[in-house]
Amino acid sequence: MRVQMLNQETGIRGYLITGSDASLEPYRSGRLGVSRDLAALRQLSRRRPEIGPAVASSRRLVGRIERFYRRQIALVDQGGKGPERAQRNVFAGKLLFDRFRTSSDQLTAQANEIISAARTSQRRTFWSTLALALIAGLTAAGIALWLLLSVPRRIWSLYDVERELRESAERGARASRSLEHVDDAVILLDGEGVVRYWNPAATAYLGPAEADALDRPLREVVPEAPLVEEALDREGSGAVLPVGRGGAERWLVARETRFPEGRVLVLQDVTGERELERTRSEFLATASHELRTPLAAVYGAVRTLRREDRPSDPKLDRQLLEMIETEAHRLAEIVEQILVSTEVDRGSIPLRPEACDIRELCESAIESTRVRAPAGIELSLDAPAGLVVQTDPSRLRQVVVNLLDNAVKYSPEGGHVGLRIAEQDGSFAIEVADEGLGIPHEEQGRIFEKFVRLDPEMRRGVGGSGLGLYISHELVERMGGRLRVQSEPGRGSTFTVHLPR
Amino acid sequence: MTAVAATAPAPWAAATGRSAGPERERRLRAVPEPGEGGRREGDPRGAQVARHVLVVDDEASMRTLCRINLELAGFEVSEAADGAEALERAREQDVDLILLDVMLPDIGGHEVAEQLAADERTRNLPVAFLSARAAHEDLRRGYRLGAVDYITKPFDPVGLGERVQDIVGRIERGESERFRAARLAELED
Repeated sequence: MRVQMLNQETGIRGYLITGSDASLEPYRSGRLGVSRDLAALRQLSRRRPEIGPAVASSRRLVGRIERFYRRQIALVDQGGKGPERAQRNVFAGKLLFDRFRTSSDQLTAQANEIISAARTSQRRTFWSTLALALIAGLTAAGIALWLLLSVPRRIWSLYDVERELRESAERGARASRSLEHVDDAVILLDGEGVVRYWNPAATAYLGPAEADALDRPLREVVPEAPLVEEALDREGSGAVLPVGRGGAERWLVARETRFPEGRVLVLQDVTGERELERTRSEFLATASHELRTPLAAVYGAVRTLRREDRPSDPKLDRQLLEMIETEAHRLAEIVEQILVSTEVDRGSIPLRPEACDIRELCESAIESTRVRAPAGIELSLDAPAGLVVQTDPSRLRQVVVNLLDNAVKYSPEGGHVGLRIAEQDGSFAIEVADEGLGIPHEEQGRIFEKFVRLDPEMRRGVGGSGLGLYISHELVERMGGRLRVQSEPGRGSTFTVHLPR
Repeated sequence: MTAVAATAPAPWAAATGRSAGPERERRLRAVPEPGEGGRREGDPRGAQVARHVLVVDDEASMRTLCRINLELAGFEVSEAADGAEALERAREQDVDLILLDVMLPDIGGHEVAEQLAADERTRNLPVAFLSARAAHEDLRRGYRLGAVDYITKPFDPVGLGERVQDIVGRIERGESERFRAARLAELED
């Protein structure tokens, strides 16, 4: 503003001197500038009322100066003595200007103060803002750091928790999946006996589907439940019970595990094992019986021989000694059969093939049978001479003797037992035919199985361990052949062995 | 239960009006009066008659051993190897006692006993079972069919003579029925 005023002064002075309009140029621009500045100052004073008085005083002074300058201009414009008068006024103008200068200085000083104060406060604000920002920044950084540290930890711990949950869920799912596939029925019951888990095996053994069994009391789902519970109470875990479904009977072992929230029932199907046990104990019973008979005969014969109260009788002695020999031999045979059948089971029979004359082998087999056959049996052999095959002679002889013995055994009324050899291309057949009891059609498949004897109740006393045909069949198969039977009940049977040469 | 009449030689074949059940006293064949013959020459037991025992068993060795030892005990012995043969022999009415194996090839020993009981000619013929089946159930069954004894195998054939003598003695004294009832009572426990 002062600058503008100075410009005005310069302009006036110049005009005074020159009287030319051009010199007033600064004056005009100064006037514009001043009014601009005053307007600005007025605005400022609104914001900063403390400079109001100084502004007002400056404005007044500016007004007086500008009026003075206008009078000066007028004087100059008047001409004549005007410029002289104007010149004389310059001093007054200067005084006025000084007063303006003072006021302006004051204003300037105030403005400077304000400015510096503003600047100070600005600076202060700046620093405090900076400090605040710094604090905020540090706080933020701290928070961020803390978050950075704690959030990941929290997240990791959440991950951990989630992982544990997931693993436990997976374990549960794996357990459930395994239980879907096990053969045992697994039933989970809660404290009230309501079914909470029911696996497919439970459906297979007991009937109801999972959807029908879940959330219902066990007693409703399984009619035998009370029996099961009672058996478990009585015998504890491991009670065996029959369960019939769909016409078939299964034997199940029931095992129970109790825990605070309920209990788990596991039912294991032991029908197979039971069946095996049954056949095994049947075998043991018949084997024992079979062994006992010849043993009793040996024992009885010896005891009789040793009687001191009998008269000397060489014929009787011979008869008794022969009995001992025969029965002991029979005993040895049965024991042999039992041993061989266990070897056959294990699959560990060694076969030693060699060149073998079939006719000789069969003659030997027939002789052995003839010696032991009862009177009513007639044995015959029909075999070509000079037929030599590769086979294990003792094993094949064993088979032939077994077939011959069976033929004799199953012809209780006596009759003809024929041994016939047939030659074929690359193979040969041994046929043993009898005219005895025959084999019922429904049994013809079973007779080669272990421990199967026709008439297992031994009501008819045919005897035998039930192993002979099993062993023969296995041996023939091992030798690369086939053992087949053809039979008509009441008419007799024909067993045929086909073997490669 | 019938009255004891051991000393009255009533032929067993003439027993009539008896119940067909097993609870009847068995009788041996008519015993000729002493002095009337029927005595074996040189028989140390003097007035005793040789009792005829029929041994029925499918095992030849068993039959032979029984025969030898029973003959040594003074018995007359016949053999049969199966049920049909046994019935045929028994019906010839010269047998005093049958030792009957349970397991025979054609019909079982129990069946033979039932047929004997059903036949007039053989109803009173004493039967003793010989068997390897020694469970209580088997013994009960035998006694219920009217057996006078049940001999379990294996047994010592040397002692058979004495055992059969005991059986014959009981029958002669009319005690066989009491014996049978007592054995059954034991087994019922």
